[in-house]
Amino acid sequence: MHELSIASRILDAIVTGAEAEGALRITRLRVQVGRVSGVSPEALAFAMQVVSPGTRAEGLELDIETVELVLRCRGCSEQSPAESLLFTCPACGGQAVDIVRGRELRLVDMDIDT
Amino acid sequence: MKTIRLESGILDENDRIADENERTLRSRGVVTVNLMGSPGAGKTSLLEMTAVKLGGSVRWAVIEGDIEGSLDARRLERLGVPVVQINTSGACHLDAHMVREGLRCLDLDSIELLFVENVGNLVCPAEFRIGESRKVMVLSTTEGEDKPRKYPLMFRESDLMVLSKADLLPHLDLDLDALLSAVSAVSPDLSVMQVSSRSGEGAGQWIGWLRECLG
Ligand SMILES: Nc1nc2c(ncn2[C@@H]2O[C@H](COP(=O)(O)OP(=O)(O)O)[C@@H](O)[C@H]2O)c(=O)[nH]1
Ligand SMILES: [Mg+2]
Ligand SMILES: [Zn+2]
Repeated sequence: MHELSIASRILDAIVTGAEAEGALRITRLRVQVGRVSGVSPEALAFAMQVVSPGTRAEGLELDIETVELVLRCRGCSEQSPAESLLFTCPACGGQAVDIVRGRELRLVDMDIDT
Repeated sequence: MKTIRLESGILDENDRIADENERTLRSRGVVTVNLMGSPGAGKTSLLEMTAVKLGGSVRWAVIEGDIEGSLDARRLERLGVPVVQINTSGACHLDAHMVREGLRCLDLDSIELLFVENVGNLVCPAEFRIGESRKVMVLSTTEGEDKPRKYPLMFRESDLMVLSKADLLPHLDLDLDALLSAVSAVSPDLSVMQVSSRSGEGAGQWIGWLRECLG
């Protein structure tokens, strides 16, 4: 449900962009989805298939790049890759962290046919 | 075939409208609290208790976000609180655009505090800024100690967690220490307040927090 509303935002943005370029069809779209963005790549791919028929984006190939989580320890500033926000710094044992990467929800680029 | 660079955030448009809402609200001197949590966590009950405790001392209003219906809005209207109902017709969260429409129905000059009761959900509302000054999440004692691990983003984004239905604690097998340590692990800065809208426990602390926000 949530991915559906994200997918319609994506669709609006890319269709507007494609119209501005005079494109007939959007054939491929590349997006970045962070590990802790709250969006599931599988659900987003499915939602795009639901919203795109009948638009210039119908049948587009969706390329989802997952952005892995990187955290910065507040104690020692060490950056480490992590599986989740429940984390213990390998350098100092600290648990308070800031998110460096992993919250992304970004459109990168798209291929169009003119 | 041609490749077009997009390089934009999917939520940029939402964030832009949220900034606009925030400016509108701030310029009218309104403090806005985005109230989030699962369905049944006790969000509306907390607002009902707030109405009783604040009495006429603060001028405030509520925007109620629901997928459908206006039951919560009527509960608050009964207590004399001005309410604007937003139906998201299916969407599982409020976004900045919906809140902007809601703001148009309110006389912002006549209030100093605005609550936005978000759609009951622990996932999506955390991602959509609406122009709020504070995010408050309500987690009830009946939801279990695993929720911070399962839904870390909401815990991370919130400024305050109200642990609601505190009156039920003696009757539950909730491991409070485990819950609180999971909360501080996923969100080290989050303050937690135990409140019962039923017994009034923690009400003073809650009202104190609100008054502090009002400055
Ligand atoms: N025992 C107890 N029940 C509560 C409390 N707050 C809410 N409830 C009950 O929890 C249910 C859901 O409350 P409601 O405020 O509608 O939750 P919302 O969906 O988050 O707005 C209702 O049956 C309330 O009576 C509380 O502090 N103690
Ligand atoms: Mg409610
Ligand atoms: Zn460290």
